[in-house]
Amino acid sequence: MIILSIETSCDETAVSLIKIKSGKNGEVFNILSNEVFSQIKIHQKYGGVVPEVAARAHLEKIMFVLENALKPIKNDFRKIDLIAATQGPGLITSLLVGWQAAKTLSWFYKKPLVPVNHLAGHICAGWLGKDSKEKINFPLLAMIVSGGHTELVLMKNHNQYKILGQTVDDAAGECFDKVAKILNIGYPGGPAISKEAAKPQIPSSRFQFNLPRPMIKSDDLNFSFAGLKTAVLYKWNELNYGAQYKKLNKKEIKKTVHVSGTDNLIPLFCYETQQAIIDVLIAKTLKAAKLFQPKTIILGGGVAANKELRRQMTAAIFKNFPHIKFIIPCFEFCTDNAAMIAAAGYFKYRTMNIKQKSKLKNNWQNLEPDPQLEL
Amino acid sequence: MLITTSSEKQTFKLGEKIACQLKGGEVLALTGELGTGKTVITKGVAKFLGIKKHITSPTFVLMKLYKIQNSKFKIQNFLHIDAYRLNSGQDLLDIGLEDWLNRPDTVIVIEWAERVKNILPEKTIKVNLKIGKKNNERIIKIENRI
Repeated sequence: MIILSIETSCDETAVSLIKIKSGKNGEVFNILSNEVFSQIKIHQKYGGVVPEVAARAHLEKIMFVLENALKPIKNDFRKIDLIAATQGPGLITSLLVGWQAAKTLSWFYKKPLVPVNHLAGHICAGWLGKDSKEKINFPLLAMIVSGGHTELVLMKNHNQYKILGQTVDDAAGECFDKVAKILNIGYPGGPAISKEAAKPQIPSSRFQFNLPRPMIKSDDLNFSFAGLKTAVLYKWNELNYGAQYKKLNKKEIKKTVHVSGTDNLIPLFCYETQQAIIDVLIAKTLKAAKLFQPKTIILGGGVAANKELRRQMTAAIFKNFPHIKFIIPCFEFCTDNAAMIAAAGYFKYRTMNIKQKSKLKNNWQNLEPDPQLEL
Repeated sequence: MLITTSSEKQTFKLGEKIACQLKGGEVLALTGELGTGKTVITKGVAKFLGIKKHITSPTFVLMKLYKIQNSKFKIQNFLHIDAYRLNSGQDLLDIGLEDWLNRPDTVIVIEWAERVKNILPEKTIKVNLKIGKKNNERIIKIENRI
């Protein structure tokens, strides 16, 4: 079975072509193409994704990306069995472009269209690197961390998603972005912070760093990162401007940073922030693992590309639950991509009955993207 | 009106107090730097309106709509907007804000409202937050445009 998938939920225009073979250990996904055009450079100067700019860039690139992705089958649509596209959640202006492209193709070539939840995609990315000997067993626990999401999800079987916990305010990736903004080290915050955090640092003992680990001991599996960002802000202001800070206006503040040269504090701030986030993510994942005894754990989403998180999470799971299989998709499948949407679309399709499958051909007529789509 | 709060809890309570005076159709325009408590006020408003869901940051999707399931209450929709990454109010109109403005059954909260000044309607309540002398202290200025 060959699936064409399209993903444009935020600032990546992505199209992929996947060939699926079933075997006795479950399906093997053969990636024929996985094209991603990232708009990061375009949005960098604004310090974040600008919706209108993103929508235009998607429009400009979608045909180009689509053509590249279709090269392995030489544009022969007869070879495609199914189209899968992200229906939500995401930025509505961005979602519309990919969804509209998928609808048009579905209508023109009379192909069934499966709407896919972006978060399901991040989870199903776990299947993409798998070979024919490997088997992924349920129940499965997924920790999804990205710029817009922080979710712990339990799967008892394919296409059965249950949210166990989520952020009550900001997402983990958002906290990275906001702290990077406070420190003025650029966008996107995640990579900028992890790069700085890896540099040699002034010993933290000199500054009494004790950033909070919000909700780490709470009874539930929820997260909170808004307070962490505020704590970083207080500490940054305190070290930079001390008691005089309140008396300064914005222009003077800019000058002070420049003159006092506290730039060498940045690696330390980055290290401490990153560690606080990692500690919470690991603690909640372990807590969920203890409660639900999964056979597999998947770490997914853009923040899962963070090397320290990958290393520490792997070590923590191995130490506490050596029998649980732990999967982190490779980098290209952690950040937004269309291959993961094909995988999630496939599993959704597989669990449908004949009647439901026959209706997919009409989806282009009546389904709209949903920016707040729930898993 | 100038109000000083000395904790996150008090700022949250202030949100509830503001909400109890809402009749529907208002826009609450929140301004203030990162970490001054705009989302905390929003959470207070939402709590008073009877929203049980977590009010999570709309930074990523720009606009989050919460339905209020209470038939006795005139206010039925709560719209939470984050204008942080927007260049002008036009961006909000592009994603369909017009459908919700000036509707008596809807209350809109806009964070970083200074970025979308040009589309704020007449019935706008301006709320500005600043960090006070102490870290947990906030100086909050509330202005009613009409």
